[in-house]
Amino acid sequence: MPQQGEPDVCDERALIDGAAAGSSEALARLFDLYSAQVHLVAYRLTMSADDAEDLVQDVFIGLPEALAAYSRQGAFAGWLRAVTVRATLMRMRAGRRRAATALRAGAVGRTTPADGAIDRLALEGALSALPSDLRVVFMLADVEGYRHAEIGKLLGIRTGTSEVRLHRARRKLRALLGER
Amino acid sequence: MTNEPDDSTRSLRDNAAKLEPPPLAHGALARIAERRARGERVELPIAEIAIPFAERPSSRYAAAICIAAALLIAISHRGEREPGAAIDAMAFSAVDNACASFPETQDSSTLRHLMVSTFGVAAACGAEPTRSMPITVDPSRILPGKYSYGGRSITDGVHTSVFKSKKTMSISRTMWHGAPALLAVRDGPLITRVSFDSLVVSARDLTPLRATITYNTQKPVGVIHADFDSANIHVVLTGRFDTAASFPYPIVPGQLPFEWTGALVIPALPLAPGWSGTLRITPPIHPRAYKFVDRPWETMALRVIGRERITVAAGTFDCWKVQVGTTLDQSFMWVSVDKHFVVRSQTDHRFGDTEFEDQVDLESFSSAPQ
Repeated sequence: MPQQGEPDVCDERALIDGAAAGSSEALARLFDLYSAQVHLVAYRLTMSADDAEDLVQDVFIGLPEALAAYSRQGAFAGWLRAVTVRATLMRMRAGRRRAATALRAGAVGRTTPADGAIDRLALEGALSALPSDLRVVFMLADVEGYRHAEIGKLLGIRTGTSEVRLHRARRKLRALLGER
Repeated sequence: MTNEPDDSTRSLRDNAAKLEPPPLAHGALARIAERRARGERVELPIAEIAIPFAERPSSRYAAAICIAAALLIAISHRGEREPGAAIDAMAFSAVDNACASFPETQDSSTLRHLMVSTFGVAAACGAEPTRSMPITVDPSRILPGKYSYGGRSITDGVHTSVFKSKKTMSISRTMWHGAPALLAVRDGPLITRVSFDSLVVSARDLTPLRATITYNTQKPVGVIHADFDSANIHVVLTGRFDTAASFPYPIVPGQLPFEWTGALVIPALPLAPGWSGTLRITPPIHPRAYKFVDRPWETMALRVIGRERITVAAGTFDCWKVQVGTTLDQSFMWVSVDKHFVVRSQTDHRFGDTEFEDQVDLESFSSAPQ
């Protein structure tokens, strides 16, 4: 049984078919179900609320036509996440980024949280200050759970380059957060 | 090395996973419906985004960056310290060779490794004392046979790349104009394999007698024949350039180009606990080198700092651990105590903000029939 909030598989297929056929109701339902996921992935990669919101718009405007290429074999959530990642990377490569990003490097500071946790604002600041090529690999590998071979394909880089970027991203994040 | 995340990495990962964007602006779905109703469409990247090789910045600029770096370093060395020139020439020669192979290999990492290795040597040598007396060598310690070396490089401590090719070196005893000699044949260098070299040296004191270098990747195949007399080298080039010339060249016992040092000079050294000495290294046997050479030799300090038993693919060996150079780069060689050949060499380089650890191991050895 699907858990609460998750669509029934049959319902999901019907929604996908409906959205692919041009049903605005089906698209709206998919938006309700998956816009948060698309928003979160786009935000993690861009660390920009504005860019993430633009990407949600782009993904759902393009989704009905894109569904024609969806084989219906794998999990729709995984397919949509991959499409979101690619759309985000494409947008970042094209330089289509909003001028106002959510947080700037100025937000980065040494953190001394009492419980040992990393301060949220400081982490957001550090991630925003991280070069985008490092941040993307960090997010894809450490947060989204992609393997280096998959990241390599997504970014058009070697697997080893992905490993090196992840290492540098972690090192730089620690430095930005003032860890020793 | 382990890929298991430590506590700090786990903390970063877990906290980053908790980050959430601000809520979507109200009416996002309505705007999507409105834009679609206007006929607006967005083509989403369904297929993987493939970046053509030529559009990859790292590939497009790799050669230019390497050559620019070579020029800058060479120029700065010439102005700042005396012993840099010969090694600068090595750098130029190496770049020349690497660039010659680049159109075929399309492998920017080859260029990068070669440049790093070359400059690592330059850094190590440039810091050495320059006025030491040359050391004595005993060529009878050299073990004729076939040696095969393989290597790997670790970038930033996390990514290991294994050199695709092996370096083989064959050493045999021969006669040269009626005198005992040693013939060394090298298939390499390890990374680019653009050349196939041979060197004949005196079996009495390792003075060079004749060198032949074949550049298989050039079209037509380039060949250099070099003969040495007491103070000059006479070079004949065929291939892309058919020419001949003579240059002053230091002929000193035990003083060979860097690329032959590991195979022919190191085994001939009387290594022992506490031993230290300074090798002299001549410029590479390459015509382009001489344009930049204003000093006839370079130096490399060696010091035995311990005795270790190490295991490589060729076996387990009791070795002298030899420090090469001083503190600019961490370079070490492990030299077999009883067979005298180099079992392992290791160098830590820094190139910009990237760290490399290069290690070359003896993978096999078969002694020549006596």
